[in-house]
Amino acid sequence: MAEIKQGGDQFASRWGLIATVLGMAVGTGNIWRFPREVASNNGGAFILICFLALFFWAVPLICAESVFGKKTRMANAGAFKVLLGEKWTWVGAWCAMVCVMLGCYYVVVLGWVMKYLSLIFTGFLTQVQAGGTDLTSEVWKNFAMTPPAVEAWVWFVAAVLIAAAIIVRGVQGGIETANKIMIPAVFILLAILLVRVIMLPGAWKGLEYMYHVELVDFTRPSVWLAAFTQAAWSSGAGWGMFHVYFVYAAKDEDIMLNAFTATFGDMVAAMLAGMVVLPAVFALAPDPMAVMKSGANGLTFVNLTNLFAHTTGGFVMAALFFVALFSAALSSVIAMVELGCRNLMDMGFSRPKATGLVTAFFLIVGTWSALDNGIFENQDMVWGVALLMVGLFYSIAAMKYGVEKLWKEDIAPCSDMHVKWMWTVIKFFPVEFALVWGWWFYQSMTWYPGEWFKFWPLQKYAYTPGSMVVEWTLLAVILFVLNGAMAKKLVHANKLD
Amino acid sequence: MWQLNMVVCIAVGFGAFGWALKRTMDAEKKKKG
Repeated sequence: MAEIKQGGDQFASRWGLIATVLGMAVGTGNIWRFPREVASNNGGAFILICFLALFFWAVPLICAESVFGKKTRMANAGAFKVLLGEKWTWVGAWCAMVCVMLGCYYVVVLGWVMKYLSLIFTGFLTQVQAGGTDLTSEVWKNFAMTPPAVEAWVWFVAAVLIAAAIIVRGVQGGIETANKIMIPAVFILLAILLVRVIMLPGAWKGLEYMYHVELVDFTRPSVWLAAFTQAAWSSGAGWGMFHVYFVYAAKDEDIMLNAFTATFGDMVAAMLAGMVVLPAVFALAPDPMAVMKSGANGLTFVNLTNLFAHTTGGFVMAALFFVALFSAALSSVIAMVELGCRNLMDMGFSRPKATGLVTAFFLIVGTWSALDNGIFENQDMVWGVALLMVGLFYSIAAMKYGVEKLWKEDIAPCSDMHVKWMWTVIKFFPVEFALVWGWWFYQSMTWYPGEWFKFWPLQKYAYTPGSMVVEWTLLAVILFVLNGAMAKKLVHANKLD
Repeated sequence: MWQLNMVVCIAVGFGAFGWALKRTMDAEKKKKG
C-alpha cells in the first residue's frame, strides 16, 4: 500500500461541527416529507415509532460513519480501502457516488425553492389571492413539470453555483460559517411560524391529528416501515456524509454525543415543521387530507403557497417558510458537494480543482432532472432506495472491522455518553435493512404488474425495480473496473493529529 | 389522549436535544478551561 500523505482542514470548534452535521441532517425530509408522512400514517403512533427508529437505525449508523471518518481521516472510498483492504475501495466509492447522484437531483429542489422565494418577494401572493390553486397549479406546471423546464434549469444552475461558492472557501471559511448561520435560522424561523400558525382558528385540529394515537397503528407493519424509512431519509444516517464531516473533526470529538445531538436535532426540526404545516393546512384548507396527500411538490408549491396567500400576514409566513426550506435544503446540498470534493481531495486534487470537477458533474448529471421531472422522479427512487444499501455497507464494514474493537479504540475513549448498546445494535442492522429495503422493492414491483423488470424509457418506468437494479449495477461495474486505479491514487489523508 | 402524547413527544424530543446541546456546551467550556 502506498504511504498515506498528510495535511489538511479542521472545524474551528465543536459548535461548528454540530451546526454542520445538523445542517446535513435537517433538509427537505424534515420540512416537507415528515408532515406528509405523519398525515399518511395516521399521526401519533408513527411519531412514537420514529423515536424508536432514531435509536435502532440512525444513531448506530451515524456512529459507524463518524468513526470511519475520524479514524482514517479519509472520505468514503479511502476509508474503506484503509480499514478493509484495497479490494473494498470500489464499495466505498459506490457509497460516495450514490450520495453524489442523489445530490445531482436534490439541488434541483433547491432551485425550485429559490424560484418560489423570488416569486413571493415580487408580489406573486397578491395574484394568487385572485387566482387560487388554479393559478398556483398552472405556474408550478409551467415552471417545473413541462419538459424542457428551461427556467427550472436556470435556477438549478444558480443553486449549484451557490453551493460551489461555499465549498471552495473550505471547511472553516465556507461550510462551517454557512451552517452556523443557516441552522439556527431554520429552528428560529420554524419556531416563529409555529407561534403564528397555532393562533389561526382551527389550528388545534392539526395538532390533534398529528398527535392522536390509535393503538391499532402499532400493529400495522406499514407504519413501522414508514417510520424507519423516515428516520433513514431524514436524519441522513448511512448516507456517507457524517463520515466526510468527521474527517475534519478534532481528535477528542465525542462521536456518540454528536450522533445523539444530530438525530434528536433532526427530529425536533421535523416536529416543528409538522406543527407548522399540519395546523396551517387544517386551519386553512377546506379538505386538509386532500392537501396533505398532494405530494411534496403539490403540498409546498401549489397548496401551501395558495393557503399563505389567503391568510392575514401570509406574506411574512410564506417568506419565513421558504427561507427556512432554502436554508435546510442548501445546508444538505453543501454536504453532498463536499462529499464528492473530499473523495477527490483524497486522490490528490486541490480543493478548488475538486470543487470545479464536482460542480461540473452536478451540472451535467443534474441537468436531466432539472429539465424533465420524469427523470427527476426516477433518480429520486433509484438513489433514495440505494441509500439504504449504503447504510448496509457501513454496518457490514463496521462488523468486518470489529464492532467491539471500534467501541474500545475510538468511541468509548472520547465519549461522555457510555451507552454501549446504542452502538452495538448495529449488529442487527442487516435485519432492519432487509425489512425496509425489501418493503420498498416489493412495493415498486406491485406498482408495475408484469412490467416491473423494465427500465426504458426512464420516465415511463421511473419507479421499477428494473430501473433501480440497472442503474445501481452500471455504477458498481464502472467503479469495480476502476478499483485498482482509485486505490493507487487514494493516499492523501487529512491528517491532523 | 392526544394532548398527553404531544407533551410526551415534545418533552422527549426537545428534552433530549436540549440535554445533548447542554452536554456539548459543558464539554466545550471544560476544554477551554
